[in-house]
Amino acid sequence: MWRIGDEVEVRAQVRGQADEDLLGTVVIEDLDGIVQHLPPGDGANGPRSPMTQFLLQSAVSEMRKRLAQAPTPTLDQQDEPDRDAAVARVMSTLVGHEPFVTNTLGLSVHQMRRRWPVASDWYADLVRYVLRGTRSDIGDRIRSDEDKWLALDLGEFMSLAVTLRWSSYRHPELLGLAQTIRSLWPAYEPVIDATHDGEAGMARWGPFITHLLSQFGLRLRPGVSIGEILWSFDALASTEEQRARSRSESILFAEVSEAAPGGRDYPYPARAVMLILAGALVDEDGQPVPLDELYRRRAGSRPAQSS
Amino acid sequence: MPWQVGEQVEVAARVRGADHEIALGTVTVEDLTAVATNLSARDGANGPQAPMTQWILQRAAVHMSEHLGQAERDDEPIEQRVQRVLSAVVGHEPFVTNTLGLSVHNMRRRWPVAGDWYADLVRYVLRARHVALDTVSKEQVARLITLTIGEFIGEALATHKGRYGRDHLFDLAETLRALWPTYPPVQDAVARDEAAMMAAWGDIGLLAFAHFGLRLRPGVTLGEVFWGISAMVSAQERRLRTDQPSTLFDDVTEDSPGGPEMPYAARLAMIVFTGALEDLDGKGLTIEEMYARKPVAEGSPLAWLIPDADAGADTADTDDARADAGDG
Repeated sequence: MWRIGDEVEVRAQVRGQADEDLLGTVVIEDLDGIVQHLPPGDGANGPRSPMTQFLLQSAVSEMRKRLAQAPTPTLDQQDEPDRDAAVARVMSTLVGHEPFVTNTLGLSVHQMRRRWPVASDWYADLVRYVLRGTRSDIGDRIRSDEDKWLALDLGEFMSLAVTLRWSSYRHPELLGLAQTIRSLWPAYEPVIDATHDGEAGMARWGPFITHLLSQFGLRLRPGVSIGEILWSFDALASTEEQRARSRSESILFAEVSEAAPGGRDYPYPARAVMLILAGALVDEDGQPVPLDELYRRRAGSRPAQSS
Repeated sequence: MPWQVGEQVEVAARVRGADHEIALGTVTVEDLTAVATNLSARDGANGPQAPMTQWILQRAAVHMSEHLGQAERDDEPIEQRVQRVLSAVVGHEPFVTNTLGLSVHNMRRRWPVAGDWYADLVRYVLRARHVALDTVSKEQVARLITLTIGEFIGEALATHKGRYGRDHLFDLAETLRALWPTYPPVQDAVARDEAAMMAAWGDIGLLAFAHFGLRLRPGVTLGEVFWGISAMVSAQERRLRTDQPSTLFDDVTEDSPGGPEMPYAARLAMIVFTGALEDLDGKGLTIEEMYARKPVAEGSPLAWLIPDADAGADTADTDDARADAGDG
């Protein structure tokens, strides 16, 4: 009836009209496995029907509009919509400004007016407040207890660092909300500021990380910068944090055996960080260190295997 | 009134209609001077350190989390929370009647139950991340496999997002994943994407390594290499959505392997390869060697993808080549 890839006009009778109107076009897709609550097949109400696909497509447009995720305007567009105003509109529905204090908290409106008389100022500060919750103090923890950390081998060190990062957020209860806000409005000024602040904060740890690596008799290969390593650590750990919130296992580690370096239960991001370190580091003689030796590497001494 | 950072303070105020102050809760005072930057007052009872200021922010964050269906509650399972939010954002029957102006039967004939409609809609959005391999033409593949591994990865990861084919859905898909990670349609989509990645790339990955005369080091599995690269590609995509470069790559210069134009995830993928791969004699490569690594001169398992190379080759040859690489 309809072939995948066909561009099809969708027509229907709009309420109040006698004739069918052209509603738009859809390019027919295979939605088997995606649309699970309709009887499969080519029927007029099935997943492949143009009207079905038009409803889904239109619902997505509506969601994006309501969540202020409509496309970023191009330079040549007139009447460029104000991104801050779009965010404020959503925040107004989610939290509100003066009505939040009066209706939700039951307080005098002056509690808000004395602090944030302008609604958009209130929303920007609230977003910054949520995003601050995911700053980690793992670096401080390691520095304040350096000797204990350096008693671990590098594999144990990295496993503990990754695991503790999850529990070292100042406000872990805000993690999900912070991830949502970052996903919703990545180009909103307070989100950009928080991203920059987070990266600047990581960059400040560069010299200390270099110092720790030197304690293990390791240094960066020529051509690799400490910033890249810090970025990857953050990228891997934050991806895993999102997965951890889903409370499901990744199938990509199914083949990791007990005999693998670190063993089967070694944390996913730590395993990936160790792969990166194996590629990024050399020993004091400029020689690469094989992965299994890297896991066993200890501070202040070289393992028997490295010559 | 001075408040010490770290101090636990009781917040009390007069609730509307009451004639005296009542205790609202407690806050542990934080330094919010760089967070609450838009306050009219920089100090004092209405400033960033004031307990009432901090309590209002704290309550607003909780309120927002509840409104978005993120706060876990025993009396409201995840399906109900999602339904509550999507009902406000899109709607079920009113979406068809009020937003689209159509007959309600257009919805009722398909999704008579609102929860079913929302679950299918979420799946529809999340399909944005299914990489469409079929958008890469045979000519593109034929050119890609003549490149060095550095050039190959640089190009493959720079254009990765374009191959999702549904760019306009990408931000929304990321948002739904962040919003409701325990909602079954979201969990299903994550598992489905991983399975699809292994199905699409699993064999090709090993063949591609063999194409460059490389293999996984002992103890390293293809899945974990994929996971690492996929995680960094996701992080790169999130980062690029801010439209600002990362300062953590400031030290990457023209002299760095790959140069400053190399995408973030591609730079790290090359580092991962340096750690995870070895040549067929079991010897590791330096990063420079890895970037410059060329396809093997003869016997590449991907030779059948090059139009000139497969002239005269039949299907059996192709299958043999794949089998050889898989065995290797």
